[in-house]
Amino acid sequence: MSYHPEPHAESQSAPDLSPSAIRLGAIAWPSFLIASVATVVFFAFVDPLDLNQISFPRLVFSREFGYTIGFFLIWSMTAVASWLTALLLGPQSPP
Amino acid sequence: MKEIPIALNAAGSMYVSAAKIYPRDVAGRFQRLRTFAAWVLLGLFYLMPWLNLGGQQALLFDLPARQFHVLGLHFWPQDFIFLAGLLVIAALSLFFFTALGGRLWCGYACPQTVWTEVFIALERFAEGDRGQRIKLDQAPFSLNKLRRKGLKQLLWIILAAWTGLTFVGFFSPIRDLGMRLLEFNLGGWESFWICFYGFATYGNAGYMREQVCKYMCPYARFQSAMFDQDTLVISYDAQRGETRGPGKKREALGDCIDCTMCVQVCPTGIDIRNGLQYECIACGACIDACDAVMDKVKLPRGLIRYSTEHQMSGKATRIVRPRLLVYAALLAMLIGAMAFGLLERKPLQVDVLRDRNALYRELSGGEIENSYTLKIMNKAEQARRFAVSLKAPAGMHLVGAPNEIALAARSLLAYPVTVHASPQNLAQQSQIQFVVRALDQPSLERTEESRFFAPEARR
Repeated sequence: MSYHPEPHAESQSAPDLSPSAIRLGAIAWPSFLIASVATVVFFAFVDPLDLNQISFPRLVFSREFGYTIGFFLIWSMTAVASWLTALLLGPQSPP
Repeated sequence: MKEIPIALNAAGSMYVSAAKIYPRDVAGRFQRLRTFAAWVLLGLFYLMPWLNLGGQQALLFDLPARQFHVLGLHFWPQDFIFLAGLLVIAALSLFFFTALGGRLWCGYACPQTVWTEVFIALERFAEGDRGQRIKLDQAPFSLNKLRRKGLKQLLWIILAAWTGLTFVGFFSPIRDLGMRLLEFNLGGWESFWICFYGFATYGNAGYMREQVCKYMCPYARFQSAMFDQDTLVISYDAQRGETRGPGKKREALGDCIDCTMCVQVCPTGIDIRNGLQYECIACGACIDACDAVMDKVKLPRGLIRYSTEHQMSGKATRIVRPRLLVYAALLAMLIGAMAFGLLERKPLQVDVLRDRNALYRELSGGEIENSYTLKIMNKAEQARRFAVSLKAPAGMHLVGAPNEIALAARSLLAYPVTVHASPQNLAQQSQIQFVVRALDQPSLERTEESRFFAPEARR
């Protein structure tokens, strides 16, 4: 049985985090951390301008744009992986 | 013993929403230590980007220029090994300190807890102490409430925006950034990242607080793997404290007077008397609170204290133990290797790239040609001239390389060269070496290997 001990005698019971918010946080935050590390490692090797040359040479990117897009692409990937894991570990529907 | 209510809500669901936690203020040596650590870390964070060294920002990870300046040292993406080493050192330090003293990281150094402390301090300034805050939240809307809440929001937003600006200032020269901010002339991505990091700070330190530690932080969950029974953790001395109870007559009771101060000061809302729990961020607030109470009731301090599991169960404990020594040895080795690498770092780097389009070309005179690009990087603070030469089997020679190549200070040059070989006795594949030597300092040279390809020998 899961219970949350009342933290303080005088505390008010303003709800703060619902189970879905906890789930969202548990998906978003670790994937954010890993995406940050992955972005650092990736762009330490790869210059976004080189990447621009071999992908969409007709579009002109700035490096800042490249880093930003790269970070959010990686974060979306890691978040999808986390979300799938959460989905698989979550409650299964009855057979 | 006080009953801890186990609540079921009306719908019979197992879930009870966690109550908002109003940690009571507490003073004591651990709080002083934490405040000190927070001042040092925040001072470093907010002031560091403004520090100049030799006319240049002392700590700047210049992403737009892809150069990294760390206290007079300059790094390029090619120096990635140092970044990797630094990450490994950081991870090992975390293991070491966790094995030694539990969650020291959480209690003293984690940005989440440090900024939460600052945001709580601002909240206290605007809304008053714990009791006043609770009252204010319960009070109906009034001008006073609006004024206090408004002041808090204003302070929070200013701090968050400043934090975002500082954060971006580590990656883009901050003086320039500040000037352009005053002129309302910030680049789109800079503005975006200032807002992003500012908003993350505001949300995480202002509202999420200990929820991040409890529900989102992976370290909180796997730190137990680094613990053992000799790790110093914050513990309640149950043998001394139980049976707990209030009152003056203490013959049948332990030393715990059940004042619940340790629970009231806890920022994560746990009762340390139930044993170590994963929510505990090792802030030491319960130790300070309990020590103050023990002083008041004239009992010895240390009912809640840093102790090890072995000590608490009456066994011998060894703080210096193989596990710790192994971590320390690994750390020392890595730091030594990093220092050595930094000292031995040559101010010249050469990479050889083969022409990707053709393995070889047959020239009209029968000679075989291979093309390469030399990426020569002058990492020094002064301009230099370099000479390129070739070490290869007989019959091969470098074509068209000038006697010297000039490179500005801290610059990279992609330099195309070709090698010709006479077809006699030419192997299908030969090892060749390019040597790049500084003209003003002959000891500064780099030798890089590559391969020379030729067609299958014709008989």
